Amino acid sequence: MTRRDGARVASRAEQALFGDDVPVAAPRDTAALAETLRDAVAQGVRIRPAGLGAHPADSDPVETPRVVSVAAFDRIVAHSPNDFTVGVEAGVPLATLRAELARHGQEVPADLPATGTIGGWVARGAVSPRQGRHGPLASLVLGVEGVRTSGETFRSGGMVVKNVAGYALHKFLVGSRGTSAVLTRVNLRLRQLPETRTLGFLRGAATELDEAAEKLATSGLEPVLFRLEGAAAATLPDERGPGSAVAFLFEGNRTRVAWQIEQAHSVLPNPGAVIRATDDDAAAWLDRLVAFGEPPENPRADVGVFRLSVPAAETLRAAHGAATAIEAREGLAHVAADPMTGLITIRQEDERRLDQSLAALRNVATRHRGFVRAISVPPGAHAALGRVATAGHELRERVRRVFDPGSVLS
Amino acid sequence: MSLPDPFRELARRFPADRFLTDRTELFVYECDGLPVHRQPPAAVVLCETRDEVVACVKWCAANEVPFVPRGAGTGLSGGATPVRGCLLLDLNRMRAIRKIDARSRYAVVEPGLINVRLTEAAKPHRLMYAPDPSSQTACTLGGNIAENSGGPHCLKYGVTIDHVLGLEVVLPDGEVVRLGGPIADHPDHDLVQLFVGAEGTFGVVTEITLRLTPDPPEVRTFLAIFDSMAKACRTVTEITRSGIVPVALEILDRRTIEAVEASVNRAGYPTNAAAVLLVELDGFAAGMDEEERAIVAMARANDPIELRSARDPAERVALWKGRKGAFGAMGRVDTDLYVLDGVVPRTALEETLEKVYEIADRYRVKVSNVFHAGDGNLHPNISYDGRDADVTARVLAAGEEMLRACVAAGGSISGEHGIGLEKRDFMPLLFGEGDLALMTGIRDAIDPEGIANPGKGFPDRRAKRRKARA
Repeated sequence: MTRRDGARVASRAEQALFGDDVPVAAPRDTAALAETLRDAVAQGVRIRPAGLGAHPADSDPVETPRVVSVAAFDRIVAHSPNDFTVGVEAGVPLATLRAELARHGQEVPADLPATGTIGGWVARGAVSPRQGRHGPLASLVLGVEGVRTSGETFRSGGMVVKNVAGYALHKFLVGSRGTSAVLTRVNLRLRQLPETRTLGFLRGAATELDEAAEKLATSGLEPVLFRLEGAAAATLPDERGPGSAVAFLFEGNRTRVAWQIEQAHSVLPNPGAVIRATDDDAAAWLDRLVAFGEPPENPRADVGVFRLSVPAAETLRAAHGAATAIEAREGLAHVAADPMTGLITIRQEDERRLDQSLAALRNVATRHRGFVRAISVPPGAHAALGRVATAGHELRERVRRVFDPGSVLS
Repeated sequence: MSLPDPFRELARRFPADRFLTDRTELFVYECDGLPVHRQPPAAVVLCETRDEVVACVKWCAANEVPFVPRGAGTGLSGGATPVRGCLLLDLNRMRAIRKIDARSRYAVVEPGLINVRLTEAAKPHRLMYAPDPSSQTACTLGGNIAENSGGPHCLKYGVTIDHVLGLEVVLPDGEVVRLGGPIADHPDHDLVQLFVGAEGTFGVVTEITLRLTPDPPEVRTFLAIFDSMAKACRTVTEITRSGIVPVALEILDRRTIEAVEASVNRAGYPTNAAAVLLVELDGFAAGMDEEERAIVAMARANDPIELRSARDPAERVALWKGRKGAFGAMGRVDTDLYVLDGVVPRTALEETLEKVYEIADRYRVKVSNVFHAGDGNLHPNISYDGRDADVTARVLAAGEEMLRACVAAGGSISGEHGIGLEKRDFMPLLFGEGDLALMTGIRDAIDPEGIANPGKGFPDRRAKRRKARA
């Protein structure tokens, strides 16, 4: 028997995320998706939108009685290479999109994780190592289409690179974690793949590395720049594993990249120690760095990923504060800090209590005028972490309820 | 002028020279840069502080009086046009730069600050504020936030929304909320992105945190002059396809060139010029020669009449002279100017422009085009005599059809001017009833009494209801 909502048994990934017995609806089109949502409202059942079930929504403590998967929305519907735009259904795997765009020498100028879907990536508001150069994900989203819990479809934005008609719901929904509506399509701005990428990195003592990172950050150059600690440094292609390092990557026009590498050498305190890597190594390093900041493929009881965001000038001080806070409680801290954007990813791998880590990181965030969130914590840890009311929370909730009056998705 | 009673109570809270009610004083507030719509406000308050804005908005909420925030009034879509009986909040006196953090690359400013003043203040730190509307020497940053303004250099750097990190807003009930801030992550739905471009319908912005961008060490500008618009458009398409991202790609058409050449901003364009393409690159000098050579080769392949280039600021000013003076030169063509703002996919530029000229001919109106070709943002400018009702009606009808042509090409009815009063009734061209109901539902959730800049951005529901009742 075929049901319109495409009900099926949960995949292993979905079971790992949502529990063994969770029912999964997998509608094949917008009408069926609308019906599924209307049914949920009528039955008063909460719903969690999902793509491939690759990632849990960031630190969402709500239990999941029913999953609606948009994996069947899997077409690249409107790639216009000459306009540098693409319209993609929400269930398109990120790897598929990346491969298709690469065939045309193009990319979404953000670092896509190896797993997951475009809809999930947008819903999570994922950050990218190259965010300092190319802007946040919201700046790349030109439009969305989706379905509200009433079953009504909606669209915002469009397929053109400049558009101010209507409220920018397509940007507002980036990072909404599927708690307002189910996205069915995302339109994105593209760039040409860089002609070349060069990665340079140095290892050494923490103080020297901090000095090097700060000099590069204020040099006027345009690096993708990271101060790496612990397992984050194991992403580098020198096979020396965990430790302390600074990594800087330049991309684009060959002449400009070569010139920037030369300039970087001239500002570094100990330029002789710089190790250079090839284009392929640089691309692979970006992939490993993204993976470092992503949840593990199968949630593990002993892994938590947190993201701290502070003003860029505070990055290194906040990163040390975070490392110290966690080290004091948990042992070695694994940190990737971007001094260009103030984004700091902290990965914790041991069996201690994650909620204590988050509390310590919240103190660090407050001290440095920032914000911290749990990107991934093991099943069961959500409740212990709780949620922090942030500025505008009540207002945000008022707007969210216009999309989802019955809070079926929250 | 006699003031309605409740206004007298509010007037007592302000010095007389900051609470305007005299008809002659209100005259300048009757419209913004779109003079086809005019309405005097009941009163104008020249606000100097956030607390004064709060007091005014709370008073409006208590007395069910609509309010309209206004910056310099340079907007082109009627976003700051008063509504009948409203209190107009003039924010020009709130123009402080509260902070520039050069290391973290952000600034905190008040909404009345003139756009270009921020770049001037950031320059000693080797930084700039990237969005540069053509009116940047007059328009305010608060107005830019309201309309999500663009500008010639937004091709590379993005429009206003891409540069706003945080806002302090006085909501329509007088509550003050702070959204976002100088950090890159946000915890949830991004309210900052929702409020930018909302045209004041969610309240009044009283403080803005803006991203600053490194001031480019090198700038190269060059002009390619063609004897046909098709050649200019083709060159733009080829540059876009190459993946090189200039900071500006602007086109002037024949009628604009003629107006410029007849004006004080004469740029010395050849008499047989049908299109001038202005290209600007910025960034590091390293690698720029290759990009310049590639772009010049693309232009040469399309058989230009002439190529010009600038290597220093003085030469650059000369090349921009025609573009910057284009709107002023339109004053020679006729008494009034209707500036349209449509967007199309960049590959549809040529065919849409042909359609625009065909529509202008059919309606017997004088259209010229000065536009941001690099992002497909067309500005058909219709010169006309606004004293002639028949001509005005044809101008408005032609404008609507031109915007319909943009939508039919896969584009939008506004790239950077906003919807305001001008295009609110065209919103159904782009959005279905459900989309509009969602957006107006959000507006009602934030402003249940409907007092924050009512009637802007969306088809006038009350007018529709009145019509239905009739």
